[in-house]
Amino acid sequence: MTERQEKQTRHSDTRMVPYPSKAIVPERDLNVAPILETHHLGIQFGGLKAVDDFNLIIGRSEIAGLIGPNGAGKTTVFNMLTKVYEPTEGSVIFDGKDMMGKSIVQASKLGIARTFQNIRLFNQMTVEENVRIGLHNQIKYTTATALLRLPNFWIKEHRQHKRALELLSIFGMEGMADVRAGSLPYGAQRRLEIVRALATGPKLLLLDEPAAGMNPHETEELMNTIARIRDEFNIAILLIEHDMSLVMGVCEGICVLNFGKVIAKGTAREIQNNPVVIEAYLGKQKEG
Amino acid sequence: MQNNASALQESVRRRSRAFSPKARHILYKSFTFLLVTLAFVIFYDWLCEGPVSGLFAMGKISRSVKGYFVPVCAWVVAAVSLNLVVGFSGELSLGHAGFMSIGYSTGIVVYNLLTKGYGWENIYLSMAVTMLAAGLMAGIIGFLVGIPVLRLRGDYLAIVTLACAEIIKSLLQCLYVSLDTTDGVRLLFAFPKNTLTGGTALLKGPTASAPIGTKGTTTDLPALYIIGFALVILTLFVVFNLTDSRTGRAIKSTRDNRIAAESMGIPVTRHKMIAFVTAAVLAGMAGALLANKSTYQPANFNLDMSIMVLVYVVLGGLGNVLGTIFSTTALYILPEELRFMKDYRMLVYALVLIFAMVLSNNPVIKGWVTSIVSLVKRRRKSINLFAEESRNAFAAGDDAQGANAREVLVIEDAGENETAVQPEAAEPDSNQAELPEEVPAEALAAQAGGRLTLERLYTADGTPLDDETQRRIELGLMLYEAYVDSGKGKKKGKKKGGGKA
Ligand SMILES: Nc1ncnc2c1ncn2[C@@H]1O[C@H](COP(=O)(O)OP(=O)(O)O)[C@@H](O)[C@H]1O
Ligand SMILES: [Mg+2]
Repeated sequence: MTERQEKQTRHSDTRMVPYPSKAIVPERDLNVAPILETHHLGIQFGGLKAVDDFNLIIGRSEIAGLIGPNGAGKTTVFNMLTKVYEPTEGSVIFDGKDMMGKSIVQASKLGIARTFQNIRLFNQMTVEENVRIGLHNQIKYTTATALLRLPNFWIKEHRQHKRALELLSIFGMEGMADVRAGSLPYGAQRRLEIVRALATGPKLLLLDEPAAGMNPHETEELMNTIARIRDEFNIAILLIEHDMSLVMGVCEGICVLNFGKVIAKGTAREIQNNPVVIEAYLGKQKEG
Repeated sequence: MQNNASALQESVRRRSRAFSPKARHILYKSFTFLLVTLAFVIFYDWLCEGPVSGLFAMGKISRSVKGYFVPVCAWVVAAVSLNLVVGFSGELSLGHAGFMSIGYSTGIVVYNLLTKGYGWENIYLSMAVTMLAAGLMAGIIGFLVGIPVLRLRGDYLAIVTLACAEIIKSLLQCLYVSLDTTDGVRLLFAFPKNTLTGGTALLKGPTASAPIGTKGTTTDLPALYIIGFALVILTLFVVFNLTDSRTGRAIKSTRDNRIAAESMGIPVTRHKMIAFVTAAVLAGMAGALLANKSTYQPANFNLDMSIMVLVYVVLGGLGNVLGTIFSTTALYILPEELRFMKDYRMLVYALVLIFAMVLSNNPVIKGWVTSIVSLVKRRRKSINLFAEESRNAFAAGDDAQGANAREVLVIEDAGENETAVQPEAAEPDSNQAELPEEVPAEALAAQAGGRLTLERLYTADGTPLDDETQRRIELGLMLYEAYVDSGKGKKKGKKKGGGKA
């Protein structure tokens, strides 16, 4: 508990330093290439520019936040990063590779994993099976191996099983492995989505409103777990969240989006004190 | 406290699951194989009118009943394979008969080529090769059809599979094939008009083709039945081994949530294709098996037939192999046995079908059937065990808060309107639950979702509950959760009359 709190403090006190020009990354990530760069990213639906000139750089081990009022275009950014939408302008460089023309599956294989704002679990399947879907490209065997039940089938199945339970234990969910995912309580479904995303072995984890519908106690727990995941898996995390205690508590760099445009970028402290942000977002939040 | 709680929860959970879902699934598969094998042995004895296996003596058999056995095998294979597409990959295919007809035509040509052309004597060997060829051909066509079809979704996919099957049917209705053995073994083809002269006609366009599975002129029914049984077993192996594997899970994930599956790195189209082609191969083999009956002609493999197989699948249950076997057998034999009704036959068949569908979709009956199937006694036992522990936990007697916590449990579930069993745990004391409302029920109910440690609870007049009571309520909720998790209390009926006045 205290150890976690220490880590917590360490995160929020990370010194953020300027990366090449406009962007910032944590000091420790300065010497490695960033995991994600977007340049003038934009998408247009009919006449509507849902996202416009979106620039973001995320360090290898950074926990970054993406905040903004409803309809600002946050989820749309995630959809562009994971190739659900093809951007109409700009480019995404992930892990040094241009993502232009890649498919959703390719994006996943390259190491982008995500959760969904409106939970998308495989409801008819068990909790463990859901995680095993995440492991699909991590622990493999062929269909012929499965049909003939060759030794490799049993070895890999066992490995998948063990790994799935290991991952579920992040949230202490091993006991629910055999429960149908659709029958889980809401909070557990959100956690399962994170576990499933982690199972794909990502380099960048995108969390879309992970704390939605959770109570303050659960949110705090989640915040600690997110920090722990970053430390244990050594990955970058970009999260969308409306709960300011979570965003301010765990995110190192924060990007604020309004009407598809970036209105501010910086550390938690800078964002908190930015009058434009307060007006566009936090002010409203306080009323609600 | 939290630790004690989770340890207790764990112990309840462990005891309440005499059979884990995995064990239950293995039982289900073993039971399916056992049942099919047993049925085969019994019916084989019957078919041969003697205790061939030395186990059963079924007595005489009528000619018409004799005719059921092989087609039933074929239809079971067709329906189980269609279930792979509809039930497991979640795509509605209306073209299954198309793949069966390809197997049917390929089967006739290959079988006659082998037996009449090359003089193969062994029916098992010739049928095995015939079915392989039929499956291969249907698989290839299935793959070609799948390329455009599987890019579509939902209704469009269904309509295009229907169109493809109709095209296949129309083409095969114009195909003429003869076997010429005068100058070496040669196959003669004609399309779309019959220009063939000489040789033995195998495929005769729209009219009945030469049958397969014959020895001289008589059909070797027992041998065909053994082959049919082998095909059913093969199908069960393929379907079970496929669905319980990495590939099978991927197929199911594309059914449950396409976007999520893709985002997890599952190539959706490829996995739908695996299910589609596997089903086509098996359907092709089933089609070849049907070719032993001269009553089947290319024109029979139409939309009606596809729908009929789909009905077997839907009645048997999407993704339910054993159910499909039962429904197929029953629904194949029923209209045959109704022949004495003459003109009213299909009317009665339709009525029975509607009745069966309604019954099998009725949650009460469904729950009733499941409870029988999944060993009702074990369930009861575990529920009673839960009752025991919860009663102990509530320290027995008419403890006000204890009863209140139970009350809350009922409220929590009142939103669920599906019918099922009232948990027996609450039953014994339910009439004592008539107590003034002291705990903010909604707060409690809201908490029951995911957590075991509640925030401090208050009575209606604002005084906090003492530690002991709070602990009991938490314990009660926790036990209830374990109970719900163990799969029984999931959907409990509405709160019974015993609320407060
Ligand atoms: N597929 C789409 N077609 C048309 N408009 C879309 C589509 N997806 C998102 N949008 C629009 O983009 C805007 C941003 O939406 P979204 O990214 O979901 O916002 P949020 O920041 O709340 O996640 C909204 O106005 C929404 O209507
Ligand atoms: Mg959103």
